[in-house]
Amino acid sequence: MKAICWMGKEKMSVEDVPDPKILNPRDAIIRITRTCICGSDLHLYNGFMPTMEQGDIVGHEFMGEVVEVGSGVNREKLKVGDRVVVPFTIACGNCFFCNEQLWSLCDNSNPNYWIAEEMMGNSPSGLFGYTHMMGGYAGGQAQYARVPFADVGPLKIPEGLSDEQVVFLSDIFPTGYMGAENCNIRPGDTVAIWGCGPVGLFAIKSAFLLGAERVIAIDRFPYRLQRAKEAGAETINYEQVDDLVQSLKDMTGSMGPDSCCDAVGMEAAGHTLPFMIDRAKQVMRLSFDRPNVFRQCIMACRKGGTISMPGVYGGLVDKIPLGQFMNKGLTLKTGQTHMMRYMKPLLELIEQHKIDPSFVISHRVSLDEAPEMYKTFRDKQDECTKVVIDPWAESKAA
Amino acid sequence: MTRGSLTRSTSFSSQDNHESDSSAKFGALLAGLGIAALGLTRKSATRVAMVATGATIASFALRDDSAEQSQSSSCATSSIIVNVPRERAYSFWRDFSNLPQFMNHLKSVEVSDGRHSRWVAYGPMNKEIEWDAEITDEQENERILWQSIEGSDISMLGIVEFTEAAGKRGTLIKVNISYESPGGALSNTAAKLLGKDPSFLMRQDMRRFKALLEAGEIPTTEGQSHGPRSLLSGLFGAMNPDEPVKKNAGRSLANAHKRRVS
Repeated sequence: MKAICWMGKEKMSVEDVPDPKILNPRDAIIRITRTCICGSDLHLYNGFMPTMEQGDIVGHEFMGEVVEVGSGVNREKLKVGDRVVVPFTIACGNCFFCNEQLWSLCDNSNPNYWIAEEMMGNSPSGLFGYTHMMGGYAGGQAQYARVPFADVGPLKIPEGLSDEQVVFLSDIFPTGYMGAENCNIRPGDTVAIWGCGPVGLFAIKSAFLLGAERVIAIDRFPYRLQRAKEAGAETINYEQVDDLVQSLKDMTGSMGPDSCCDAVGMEAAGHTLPFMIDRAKQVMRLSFDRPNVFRQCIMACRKGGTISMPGVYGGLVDKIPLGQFMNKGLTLKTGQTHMMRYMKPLLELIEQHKIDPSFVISHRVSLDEAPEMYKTFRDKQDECTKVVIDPWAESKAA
Repeated sequence: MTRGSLTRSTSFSSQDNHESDSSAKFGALLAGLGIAALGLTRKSATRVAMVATGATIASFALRDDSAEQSQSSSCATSSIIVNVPRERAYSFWRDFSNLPQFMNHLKSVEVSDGRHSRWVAYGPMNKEIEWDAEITDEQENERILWQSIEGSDISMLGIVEFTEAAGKRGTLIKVNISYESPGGALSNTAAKLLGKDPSFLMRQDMRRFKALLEAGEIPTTEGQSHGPRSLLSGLFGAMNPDEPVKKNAGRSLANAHKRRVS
C-alpha cells in the first residue's frame, strides 16, 4: 500500500510499504477512505519531537471501512464492513483510567511505556502515527491501518453522513470541544482563544455551544481571523496591537477573560524577548517548547479564572510566571483528548445539524500530493486551514 | 589486602572476569565516543539522541564499579496495581507456565507437579540456562515463595504477594526475585550499558503482566509496516534495554504467541 512516511526533518514522502496485518487478537484492519494532516503532525515535520525514526508512517486522523478483525474483537461492537471513525488515542477499555473515562491516559496501550515513564513519570496512552515514546504505532496517512483494541475506539457512523462531515471526530472536533469544556464555561462568560487553526475554530464553536456569551479569538493570519469571525468570535490580530494582554483587558472592562484557551502549543510564534530566547533554545535543542502563549494566558486571565490547554507541549519550559499563576488563583486544565468520552455526543450534534465540521476544510488532495501540503500548511500558504486526503484518489499531476 | 579484593578472591575466576571486563569496557568506551562523534556530525534531530546514547555508553565504560564486579547476584523488586480480583491475579501467577508470557528473559517454565517446575531462561549470547525450582511456601490468594532446588547451576529465590489495592482498584502485587549465578548469567547487556538495573526489567515484566490480565494482550508494534529505515534505527533497536535477548527470527516468533492470554 501507499503510506506517508517521516523520513527526517521536513522530509515526508510517499512510500510503498507492506499492507498492515493483525498482530494482536483485538486488532482490526481498516481500509482508509479519508485521512487528514493535523497541526501536531507539523511538530513532527519540523523535527521538534524526539523519538521519531526514519520510515515511521504518520497520521492520526482517519476513518474508513473495517476489512478484517482479530479473534479477540467483540463482534457485537465491531465487524467487517462497518464504517468507522478511528480516534487518535488508543485505549484498552479495561484499566483504571479507561474506567474513569480518562481514555487518553490508558495504562495498557503504549508498548514503549518505559520511555514516556522516564520522561514524564508515567505514560499516557499510545497514539497513532506519532513518536516512539507514544508507542510508535503506524499511522493513518495511508491506504490501510492496523487499529489495536478495535472494539473500544472506533465509532460506527450511520448512513447519510459524508466522510467529510465526520472525519474530524478522529481528533480536532473532540479536541476543540474538550478545550472549550476545560474552560469551565458558565453562562455569560467571556472566553479568549489563542490560535484560529482547526482546533481553535472548533473550540470557538464549542465555547458558544457550552454557553459562552463572548469569544475573543487571537491569531496573526487575516484569513484565519476571518474564519473565527464567521464562527461568531471577536478577533485580535496580535501583530497589530502593542500589548495583547492590555488589549484583552480593554475588551473586558479591565477584568480579563474568564477563561483562556491555548490552542497553539509548543511552536507559538511571537516577537517578544522571551520568545526570541525560546526560539534560540529550540534551535540549539536545549528546549522543545516556546511557551509564550501560555505565559500570555496567565497574564491575561481574570483572577480566579481557568486556563485550558489543548495545544501540545513536548517537555521542560522555563520563565513561566508561576507566582502570577498562584497569586491570581488560576486553574489549569489540560491533557490529550479523552476521545471516547466525546465522539458519540458530538456525532449526535452533527446528526442534529447543530454543527457541520466540514467548514474547516481548505484543501482536498491525494496521497501523492500530501507531502508538499505539509509545507503549505506549516507556512500558512494558500489560506490553508485543513488538508483532507483521499488515499485512493489519483494524483492530479499524474 | 583491601576488603574489596578479599571479597573478589572468593571466586577463582575473578581475575579472568576482570580482564575480559576491562577490554569490554574499553570497547564500550570507543563505541560510545564513536556514536557521540557521529552524532555531532548529524544535522537532524537524531543528533541529541546519538550524542546522549554515546555519552551514556562512554560514561558507563569509565565508571569504576569494581565493587559491583565482586557480586554475581541480582535482586529485582517491583509492585503494580492490576485491575482484576485477587483470585485472578494469584491463579494466573500460580501457574508458573504463564510467567514466560510476560517475563522476557524466560523461555519456558514447565510445571511438573503441584510444587515443582523446570525453568529455561535466555542467558548472554542466547545461551539457554536451565534449573529446577520448587514452591517452598504459599498462602492461597496471598503469597507464593519459590526457589531453585539445591545443586542447581543458578540460585533463584522469588516472592510474590497479592493484597487488595486501596480504593477498590484491584490487586496490589509486590514481587521480589533474586538470582545468584557464576558470572551474572542473566545479565542484559543493553540494559546494563544504559545503566538499567534488574528492577527496571522487572517493572517492564510487571507492565506486561498487567496488560495481559486487564486488556487480554500485551500491546505491540512488532511486525507492523514501515518505510525504509536508516542504520540508526537498527542501532536504537539494539540498544532497547527492554529487549533482554538480541532479536532473531525464532525469538520474534516466540514473542508473538507470548503476547496474549491463551
